[in-house]
Amino acid sequence: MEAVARHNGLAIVHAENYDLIQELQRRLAMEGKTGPRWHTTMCPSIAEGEAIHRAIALAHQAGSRLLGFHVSCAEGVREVRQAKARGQAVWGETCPHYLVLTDALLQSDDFHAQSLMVHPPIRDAKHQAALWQGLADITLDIISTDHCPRHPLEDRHPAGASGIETRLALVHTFGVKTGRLTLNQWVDACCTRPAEVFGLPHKGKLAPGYDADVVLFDPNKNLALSPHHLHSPLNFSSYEGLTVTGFPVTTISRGEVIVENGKFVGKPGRGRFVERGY
Amino acid sequence: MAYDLVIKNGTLIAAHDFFTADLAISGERIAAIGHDLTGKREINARGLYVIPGAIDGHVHLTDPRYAPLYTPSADSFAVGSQAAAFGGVTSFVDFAAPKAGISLVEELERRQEEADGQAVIDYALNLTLRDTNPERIQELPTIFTRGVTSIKMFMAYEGYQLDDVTIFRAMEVVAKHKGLAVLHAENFEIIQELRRRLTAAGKTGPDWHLAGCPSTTEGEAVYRVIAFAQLAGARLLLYHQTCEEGVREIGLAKARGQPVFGEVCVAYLVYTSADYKRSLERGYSILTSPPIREPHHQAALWQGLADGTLDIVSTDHGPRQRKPDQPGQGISSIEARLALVHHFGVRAGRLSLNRWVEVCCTNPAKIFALPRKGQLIPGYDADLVLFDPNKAFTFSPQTLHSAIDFSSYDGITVTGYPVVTLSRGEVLVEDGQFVGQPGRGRFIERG
Repeated sequence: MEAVARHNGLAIVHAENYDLIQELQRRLAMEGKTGPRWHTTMCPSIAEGEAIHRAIALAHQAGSRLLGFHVSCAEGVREVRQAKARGQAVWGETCPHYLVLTDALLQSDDFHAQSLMVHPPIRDAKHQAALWQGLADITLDIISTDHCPRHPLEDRHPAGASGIETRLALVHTFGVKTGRLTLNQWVDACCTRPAEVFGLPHKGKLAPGYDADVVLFDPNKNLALSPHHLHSPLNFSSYEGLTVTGFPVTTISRGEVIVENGKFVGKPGRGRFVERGY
Repeated sequence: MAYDLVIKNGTLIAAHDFFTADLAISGERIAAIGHDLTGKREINARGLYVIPGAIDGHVHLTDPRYAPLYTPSADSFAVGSQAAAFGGVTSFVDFAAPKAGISLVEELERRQEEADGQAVIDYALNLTLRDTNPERIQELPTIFTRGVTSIKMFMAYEGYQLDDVTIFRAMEVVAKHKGLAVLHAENFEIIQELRRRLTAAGKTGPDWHLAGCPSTTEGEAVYRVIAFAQLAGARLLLYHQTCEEGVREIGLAKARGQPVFGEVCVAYLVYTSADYKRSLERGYSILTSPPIREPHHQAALWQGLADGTLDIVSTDHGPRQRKPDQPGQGISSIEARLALVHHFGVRAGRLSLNRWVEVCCTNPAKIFALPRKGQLIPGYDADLVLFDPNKAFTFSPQTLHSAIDFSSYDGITVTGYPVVTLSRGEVLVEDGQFVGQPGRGRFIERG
C-alpha cells in the first residue's frame, strides 16, 4: 500500500479474515458439515467486516487509495460508509450474484449450489438489502462480476459465478425496475464509476472527446438467462431460471459496432490494453 | 444504637447524586446513611467528599517472572498496595500471567500466595493468557471456578502476543462462562515494521516512541477484537485507550448495542506526546505502550469519558526502578490517579463530580464484577475515601509511597486529595500515616 500510495495508484483488497474462516471450516469439517449449505456459516459476515476495517486502517496509515472488492455484507457496507464519511479515499465494489441471489440457493448439494460457493459467500436477504442501500447512497461505487465460471468436473462443480454477459441487464432488472436504483445510478455504478475508480482514460462517459464506447439498451426486451441464450462455452448459468426485462441490443467499441441483431460483427483481437493513470 | 463508626456530615458523592449526610458502618459493611447517626467512633467529614473507595482495574505489581513487562526492584504487593491506600484506592485488579507451558491454575495459586499476607487492600486478578496451545484454553473454565472471571489477552509484544484464532477461542470460553475478555489492542506486525525502520535510521528513545505506534494501528486492533467479541458473544473491555480511533470504534460498537467497555489510564489524560521531548528523564518516566499521543487524542479521551464511551480510568501501574542502561517502560500512577482525575477532570470542568466517582470507583466494580464494591449503599463493603477538595498536594518521590526513586508526575501540584482511606470499615490512612494492619487485604472472588 505504501508503494501504491507513492505511485498514486489503487490498492484492491479481497477482505476476509482467513484465520478465523479456517478455524470455523476446521470445526465444521470435524462435524461432517461441508458443502454449500455450510458455506455461509464458515465465512461469517463479521469476519468480512473486520478485514475490510483492517484494510481501511492500513490504507489510511499508508496514505493509499483503496477499493474493497466484492463487498457482500452489511458490516462491509457500514465500514466503507464510515471511512468515506471520514474523508478517506475508499471505494466499494459488489457483484451481481450478491445482489440477485441469496444463500437459499446453497441449501442443496447439487452442482448449481456448488458452483455458487464463492468467496465471500452469497448471503441472506438482510445483507442483500444493505448492498442495494449501499449502492443507492453511493457507499458502494461499482458493480463488477468477479466472473470466473468453471467447467464442471465429474464428481463436483468448482465454485465460480458467471456474470460478464448478464450484469448490465441484471442490475437494470433487479435495481432499476424494482425502484432500488435510478436509471442514472445504474449507469453510474456499471459504466461511469468503474472508469473513474480504475483511472481508465476517455472511458465511461457520453462526452465529446471520449471514446465512442456505447451501448443501445432496449428496456423492454425480455431474455431468459439460460446457457443457450448466452455466449460462454459453459453449459450452465449462475442465473439459470431468471428472466430479465431490458437487454443490450447494440454494442459499440471505439466507434465500431461489435454487436447488433444478436450477432458479433467485430474483428477478433481488436481490443487494446488500457494504459492508466490518475 | 451506636454504630461501630460514623462518618459525620460529609458530602456523599455517588455515581448519580450528592448530598450531605452521616454514613454509618457496622463491622466491615456500610450500615446506614442518614442524619444524626451516632457511633462508637465518629470522624468529622464536614467540608470533605465521602466517596466509594477508588478501584484501580489495571495494576502490575512486581514479579520478576513476568519480565520484560514486569521488572524486579519496583513495587511489591506490600509497598504497592500501601501506596494505593494513600491515594484513596481500596481495591485493585492485578494479574496472574503464566508463561507458555505453565499450568494456569498453578500460576494463579502462586500469584495469590505472593499477594496474600502482603496486600493491605482487597485485590482481584485477571488471568493473562500467553499460551496459544489449544489445550491451555481448556483450563480456562477451571480459572472461572477460582473466582477469576476476566481473561487478559495481548495482541502485541513478545512473550505475550496471541494470534487472532487463540483470542477468538478464548473469547468463546469467556462468553460461555459470562466472563470478561480484556484486551491490549495494537497491530503488532505494523508496529514491528515501523520500529524496524526507525531503528535502522537510528531513531530510538522516547522521542521516536510515538512514530513506531501510530494511532491507526491501535484503532485497527480495537475494531478487530470488537468483531471477534461480537462473533464469540463475549463481553469485552479494551484496556488503555489512547486515541480517537479507539474511542470512535468503542462508541460505534456501543451504539450497535454490543457489550463493550473502554478504559483509559490516567497518564494519557495528563500528558501529551510533547512531554516525551520535554526532557529525557520525563520522557522515560512516562514511556508506555500504547504511547501517549498528541493533544487532539487526549481531547477525544476526555470527551469519551464525559459522554460514556469510555467507562473507567485505571493506571496500568508498572513502575520500574530505572537503570541508566535499561530504561524500560512503565508508569507509576497507583497513588496519584484519584487526585489527578479530580484535578484535571472535575476542576477543569471536563467531568462532573458524579462522573469522576463513576469512572474511578463505581464502574470498575461493575465491569469487573467485584461484589459489594464501588457504591455507597448499605450492605456494601465500607470501602471509603474522605477527599478534601481544597487540599493542595505536590507529587514527588518524597511525597509518594512507591519503592522507586522517581515519579511520573514529579512536580505537578493538584488541588484536592484523599485524606482518610477506609477498607471494610477499618481506617487505613489518616493524618498522612498508614495505620492499617500489614497483609490484611483479601483476594476478591468473583462470579
